[in-house]
Order: sequence, then C-alpha cells, then structure tokens
Amino acid sequence: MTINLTQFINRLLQTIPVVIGVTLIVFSLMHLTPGDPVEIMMGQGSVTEGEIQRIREELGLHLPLPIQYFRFVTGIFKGDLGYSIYYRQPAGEVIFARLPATFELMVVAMIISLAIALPLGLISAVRQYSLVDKIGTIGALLGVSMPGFWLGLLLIMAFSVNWIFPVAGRIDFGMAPQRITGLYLLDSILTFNWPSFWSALRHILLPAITLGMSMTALTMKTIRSSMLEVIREDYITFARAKGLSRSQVVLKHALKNALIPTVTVITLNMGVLLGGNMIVETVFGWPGLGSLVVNAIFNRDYPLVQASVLIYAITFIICNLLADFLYTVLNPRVKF
Amino acid sequence: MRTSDLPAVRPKYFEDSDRFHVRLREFWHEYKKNRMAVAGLVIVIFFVLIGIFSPWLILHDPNEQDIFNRFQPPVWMEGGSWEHPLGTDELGRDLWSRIIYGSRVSLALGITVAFFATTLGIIMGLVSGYYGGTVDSIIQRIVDILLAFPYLVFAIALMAVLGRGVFNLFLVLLYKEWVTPCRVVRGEVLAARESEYVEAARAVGASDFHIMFKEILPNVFSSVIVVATLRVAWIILMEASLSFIGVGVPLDIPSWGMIIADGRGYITQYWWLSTFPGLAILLTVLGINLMGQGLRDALDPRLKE
Amino acid sequence: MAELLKIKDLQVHFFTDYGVVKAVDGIDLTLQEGEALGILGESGCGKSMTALAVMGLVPFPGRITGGEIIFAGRDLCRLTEKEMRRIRGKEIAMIFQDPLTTLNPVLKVGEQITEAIRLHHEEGDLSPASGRRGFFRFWEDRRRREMAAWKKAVEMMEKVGIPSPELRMEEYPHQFSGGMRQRAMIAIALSCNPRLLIADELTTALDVTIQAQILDLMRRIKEDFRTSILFISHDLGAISELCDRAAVMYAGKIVETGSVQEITGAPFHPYTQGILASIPRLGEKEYRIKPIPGNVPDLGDLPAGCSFFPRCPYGQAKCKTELPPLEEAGEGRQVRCFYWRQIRAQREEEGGIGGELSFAGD
Repeated sequence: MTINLTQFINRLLQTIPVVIGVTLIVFSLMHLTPGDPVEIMMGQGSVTEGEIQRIREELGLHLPLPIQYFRFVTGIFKGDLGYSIYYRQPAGEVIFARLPATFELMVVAMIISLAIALPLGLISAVRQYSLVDKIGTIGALLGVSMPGFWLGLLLIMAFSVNWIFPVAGRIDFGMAPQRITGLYLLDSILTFNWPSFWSALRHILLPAITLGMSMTALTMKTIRSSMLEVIREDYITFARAKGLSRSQVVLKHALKNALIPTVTVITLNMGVLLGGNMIVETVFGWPGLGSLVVNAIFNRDYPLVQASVLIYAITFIICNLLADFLYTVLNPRVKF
Repeated sequence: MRTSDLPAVRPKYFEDSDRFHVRLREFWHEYKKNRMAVAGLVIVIFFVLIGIFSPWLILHDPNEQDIFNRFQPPVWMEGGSWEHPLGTDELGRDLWSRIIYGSRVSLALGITVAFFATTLGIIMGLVSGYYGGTVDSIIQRIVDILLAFPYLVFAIALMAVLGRGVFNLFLVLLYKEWVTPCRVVRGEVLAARESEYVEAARAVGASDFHIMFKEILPNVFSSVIVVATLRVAWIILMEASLSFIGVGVPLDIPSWGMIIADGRGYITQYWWLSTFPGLAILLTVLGINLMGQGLRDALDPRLKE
Repeated sequence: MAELLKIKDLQVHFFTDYGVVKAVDGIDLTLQEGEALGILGESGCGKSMTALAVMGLVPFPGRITGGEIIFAGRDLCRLTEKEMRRIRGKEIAMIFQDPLTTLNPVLKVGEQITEAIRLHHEEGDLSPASGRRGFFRFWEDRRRREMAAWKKAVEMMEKVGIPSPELRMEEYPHQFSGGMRQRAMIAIALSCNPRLLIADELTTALDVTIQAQILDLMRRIKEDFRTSILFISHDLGAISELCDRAAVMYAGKIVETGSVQEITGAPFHPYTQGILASIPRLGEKEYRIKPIPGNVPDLGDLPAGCSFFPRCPYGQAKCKTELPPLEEAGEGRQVRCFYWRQIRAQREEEGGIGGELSFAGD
C-alpha cells in the first residue's frame, strides 16, 4: 500500500470548510437563544443587573458578533473552550476530565459490537437460510427497531435483581485504579490491579452492550449482504479452483472484500454511536461527556454545552478521516 | 419511413402500463407476496388507526392525576383492574390512555417530518444534481457541515436552546432529515443527466423544469419513497430519544419517549411503566421497517439484499 | 496416449423454487493425455457447469445427480472434499472468462500466484529444509518456502509472457491490462503443473488481437507443458485454432463429437450446421449469415423429444416425441440425430456449406 501524501493533504484541506462551518454553527447556537443568554443562564431573581453586566463582559457578550466569533475561534486554537458557569472552571478542563470515560465506553461498545457482528454476519452469509441466519436477521431487525435507552432499561430491570452487573457508575466505590490513561480497564491491567479490572468490566458491560446494539445490527446486516454478494464472484470460485478450502477462501479472499462496504457503514454510524452515547450515559449514570452535556443543558450551562458539541463534532470529523484512510488501505483501487 | 407508416394511435400496451392504477395493481401484486411486508403494513395501519381514533379509545384523560391510585399494576396482575388496563404511573395517570395518546405525537411527527424533509430533499437534490457547478458545491458543503455533527448531539443542544415544543421538534428533526433524500436524488440525477431519455427530452427543447420534474423525478421516485418510509422509523426513534432526555415534547403532551422517562425511576419495582411504551415504539418502528423493506423489494428488485 | 479424463453420463441438476433445471443432462466425454478438446455451445447450454462439475465446484442449489467423472483412474464424484482439494489447482486447474472478475481485486497479483504454489508444493519440493534445528527453524523454513514460491511465481509470469514480472508481482489486478490479467490468471493455473487445464470462455472478453495472442499462448502451453486442455467456448474459430477434437453441446446434452476438421468441415448435426452458417465471413458480402431461428430452450422445461426440434430445419414428427440417441458415425465421431445419414448424403450432393470454410492456423 502506498499513500500519496498530496492526496492525503488534499483530503485534510477538504475538511477545512467543514470545520469552519461547524464552528459557525456551534457559535450561533448560543445566539439562537431567545432572550438574553446570560439572564436565562442565571435564572430569575437573585442576580443583580450589575452582576449580569459583569458576566456579559466576562464572556465578551457585549462585543459585536463577528468579533465574538473571532475570539471564539482563536480561543479554540489556544485551547480555550469557554468557561463553565455551573462548574466555575474552564469548560475544556471539565470536558477533558470526563473524556476517558466516554472514550472507554465507546471503544468497548465497538469491540463488543464487532465481536458479535463479524462472526454472525459471516456465518449467516456463508450458511444462508440456516438457523443462525434466521436468528441473526430477526435480531438485526429488532436491533434497529428498538430505542437504545429502552434496551438499557430492560437490561437494568433484568440484572438489577441480583446485582451481577451494577447499573450505575464506572467502578465500585474506592476501587479506581491508579490513573495512567484514565481508562479504568487499561489502567487496572497496567497496574495488575485485577479486582479493579473486574469491577470496571462489570460496570461497563451493560452500557457498552446498549450503546453498541444498533451498530451491531447494522454491521451484521452489511457484512451479511456484502458477503453474499462477494461469494458469488468469479474470484471466489477461482480461489476454490486453486485448491483452497472453503474457510480459507472465506477468511482470506471474501472477507477482505466484504469489509470495504462494512467500513463505510460503520463510519456512517459513528454519528449514531456518538449521539447514542449521550443517552446511554444518562441511563446508566456513566460519568462521561454525554451525561455531562445532558446535565449542562438542564443547568443552563450554555458555554459548556457549546464546548461539548464542538468536541463531539471534531471527534466525528476525525473519525470520518480515519475511516477514509482505512478505506484506502482496504481497497487498493481507491485513493484519497 | 413515411409518416403514414406510423400507427395512428399509440400502441395499447404503452398506455396501459402507464396508467397509475395498473402500476399500482402490479406493485401490490409484488408487495403482497412478501409476508413480512404485509405484516409490517398491518402493524402500521393498526397504529395509525389508534392514533386517529385515540379520543375514543382512551379510558381517562391522559393527564388526569389520581394520587390515591398511584402505581396500579396491569389488569392481569394481582391488584389490577379494568379501570386501568395497563396500570397507573407515579401520579396515578392511566398508562393505557397515555400510550394511546402517545401514538399521535410519534406518528404525526414521523410522517410530517418525513414528508416535508423528502419534499425539500427532492428539490435540493434535483437542483444540486441537475445544475451542478456552484449551486451543487454550495448545497453539498451545507450537507457536509450538517453531517459533521453527530445528529443526536446537535439535536439535543438545539432543542435545549429552542425549548420544548412540538414545532421546535419538527424543525430540529427536519434540519437534517432532508439530507438523505437529497443525496439519493442527487446521485440518481447525476446518473440520469447523462442518460438517453434526458438527452432526448433536451433535444426536443424541453425546459429544465420539465426535465427535472417530468422526466427525471418519476424515475427516481421509487427509491425516494423507500428512503422516506425508512426515515419515518428513524424519526420516531429520534423523537422518542429527545423526549426521553427531556428536551422533546412539552410536558402536557404524552409521548412514548417521555412516558418511558417518567417510569425510569421506578423500573425495579414497577416494571410496566417503561416496558409498555417501549413495546409500542418497538412495534411501530418494526412495522415501518418491514414495510420499507417490502416497498423496496417490490418497487426496485435491483435493491434486494 | 492414455485416457486422462472420462466423463460418463454426467448429470448436474439445479433444484430451484421453480423446479429442477437440468443444466447437464447425461453427457459423455473422453479426453486423452496431451489432447485439447473443445466444447462448443451457446451460453446456457451447460458447458460451464460441466467444467465446474469436474472441479467439484457446482454452486448451490446445483448438485451432481448422476454419472462418473474418472480422472487418472479415480472417480472425482466419490472423493471427499479434502481429497478433492488436493486435486484442484494441482492436477486440474481452471481458468475463467473474465480476468477482471477472476482475480481478487484486493490482493496483489504476486500473492495470488504464490498462494497456489505454497498450497500444493511439498516442503522439500520448493527448497530443501534448512539443517538448522531449534526454535527458529520453523520461521526460517517458512521464509525459504515463501522465497522459493516467489521465485517460482516470477518464473511462471515470465513463461506466460508478462514483462518485468518482479515489478508486476507487487501490483494489483486493476493495474493490469486485460490481456495481462488473462496471462496472470494462466500463470496461476499453470503454477503447479496441472495435468488438465480447463479454460472456460477464455477468449470471449478479449479484443481480437489479444485473443490471438492468448490462443497462441495456450497452444504453446499445450506443447511445452504437455498439459491436456478442456477448452470451453462458443467461438468455433477459437476452438478450431487450438483443439484436436470438439464436442458440440446443446441444452445440457452432447449433440455431436468429432475431430475439429470433421466438425468444421462436415457437420452432421443440424445444430452444428446452424452454428457454422451463422459465422460471418471476411470479404464475402454476398454471403448472408444465416442465424439459427429461436432461442436456447428453458432447461427447466425441456421438450420430450429432441431439444433442438423447435429450431431444427429438418425436424420430423418423430423428433418431437422421441429423444434421438448418440449414434456412432465413424471413427471417434458421434451424432445425436435420427436423420444424420440423410443430412450427410444431402451435404455430399451439394458440396456442403461448412466445407468451404478454411481456418487460419490449420
């Protein structure tokens, strides 16, 4: 595989207008609020006119809009994402403290989802109309038809009785491993802290399953249909004619081709995963970015909401870039 | 060939296959072969009927509180009664009536948003694909920017700013929904623009408007219908999510997502509060998905999995 | 010459929702060692399925329902999948119509060639095992095997006429031209020195000039490697260029066999005559090609009698109800027609249509 540097840079340049658009939209989010944002943030009463004026100036809200936008964008580059009114801390700090939890949840959700979807999709394609195929198809259909938060609640109902899987938080109280990366599972492995690992694993399982559900269903469907298409291709028969066994052909020749459309679908659904993350974190009380945003909304902490939405959007853009990159790695016919 | 050689009337088969009711009959013949699709249609019709006739189906005002009859169990459990077939919630509101009424918001929003979004998407897609150039670039950049946000994140933030309300919900759901039909139509238009039938229309001097709406649109219509149907399912799920988080419908309009959220705090003791509205969502969305797949298979066999 | 492949009353049926489709309906074929046999027929007559049946790769929902495929003394239909895998690629190789779809688009061409070589060559075959013992031996042997397979692959690519093979090994199929892809595919098939090479519509997807090159290559293979070839085509020209004998298939059955000269010069079966008459000829404007009327019958719903009857100019009442047997019509010559003697007599009177044809390269 050779990656053409100019093409790569071109692809990066293409995202610039998108990033500008994103900052514009996030910026105008604050200014869409009917009425005065500061007054709404502060709630009624208890604050004096002078105080409101002081906060306005602190946030730079008295300046003309283009200048405010300019300050907002330059702030982002300096790592200044605004000031959280509720936490009375820079929004960036609040967010980055929560980021590992969300990252861990999403990675585990993705691993679980791929671990289920890949083999199931493969088997149901290779053994079309078999029992596995039928169960998989029905499961996938239910998976895309079910609201994620409802599945989360069902899981809580099912497991809250015997407390095999705790239904709130990231880890049992006082068990948090020594902080290295902020990812509890990884940290506990690095410090050989097995009780912590076990506790973190039990906590993360239900939220991760809930979060990964729709992705599992969609990935499985895609792998199945692209596999079905691929195994009818001539090169599969030709590979068999070379004397390769059925499983060698499926795993080496077919899978690599079938993964190409699958990567596209997974990328398209990264957005669903990022959005679903807010709901799952709320349902399971997971102390990550998602629950932070939801709480910030109810606390009327708009600068924090703004900063979080920006972080989500940037993450999503990076995910898309990575997926494009992966796509070119998998498919030699396509270049950036 | 002399003109007199041409038949005086257009051949019969041409007219027949062109007639709407004939095509409809052919479509139905294809559609009903698929048992799952028929099941989906039945489910959808069932819920639409419930939505329409909900004032006659409810037993209580869905917002009527009855503090003395809180947490009544469903009728088949001990202590349940036909007064409240599915029990009552923490304020003594009748769960049955709330779920029945909840179908209205979900379906009405789902269908109207899908309709307006598809119309908007078709127009944008036609314009974008047909004219190309600057117009196309601008529309596609807008699409790129809208797609750069994880949808739910942006929708929640936007609802938080706009405040709860059915119309705000409509706007927030609409803001991205037009993108999918727009992309589908644009892709088809790009392919159609080079095709012979469009070239032929252009050769006889048809206007851009005529070519877009009379020549191209009918050819892309089946894929758009399928997309729109499947979007309804998606919109219903999104509405439920937003209402569940608490940024959706106003508090006095029961919606399935909100009913689930209301029962959330009590699920370990009173499981029915969140289970039944969730089942209603699952069934509705499942029905729409089955119907969409059936439509796709019947309208465009090429797309069959 | 010894018999290499003998197909006896082979039947391949497809069990579909719409009924049983008899893709191959009782065919008999014999292929001598070092011989090239052409199978001629329109698309959908079952010639590709015959080839896949020999490979043991009949796709679902098809199945070999009867008959024997005897290859070098063994009945392939009775072998287990594992035994069959050892024959596929090593003893019998197959090449396909469209090299663009036959080479895996996401694997390097070199990888696709060495794969077959590594699979079928025993360890000692490629390179002697290193004398070293101990932990690294496994890896070292593996590397040596890979290197040897690589060398062998380069050699094969050279033999089939691919320029600068070392560089081409590192490329993907889409970077190859049509003719080069075809050559790469042939290199893969020949890499294990198979005794039998099955070529399915090999030249169909190619330009005429490339076609000639590939046919030339095939002829060289036949001579240099002493490989027997089963050449499946609907192109009588290509078959007569390459093959010694030909069998004409129609609707899952063989209707005529004989030497290429006999088939092209004096066809007895009305279908073979029809094929010959529908070939356009260079430089003869007055000569109108005569297409065979009608279409290949639906293999799921064959008529009771001769399946060519609906399109046959000589058809009689008997043909409609009775299936004509495959009759001996001379040395190594068979015809499936009740009236072949009359047709022969008539041809001799007229001087024959096909007799005027001459083929370049004969």
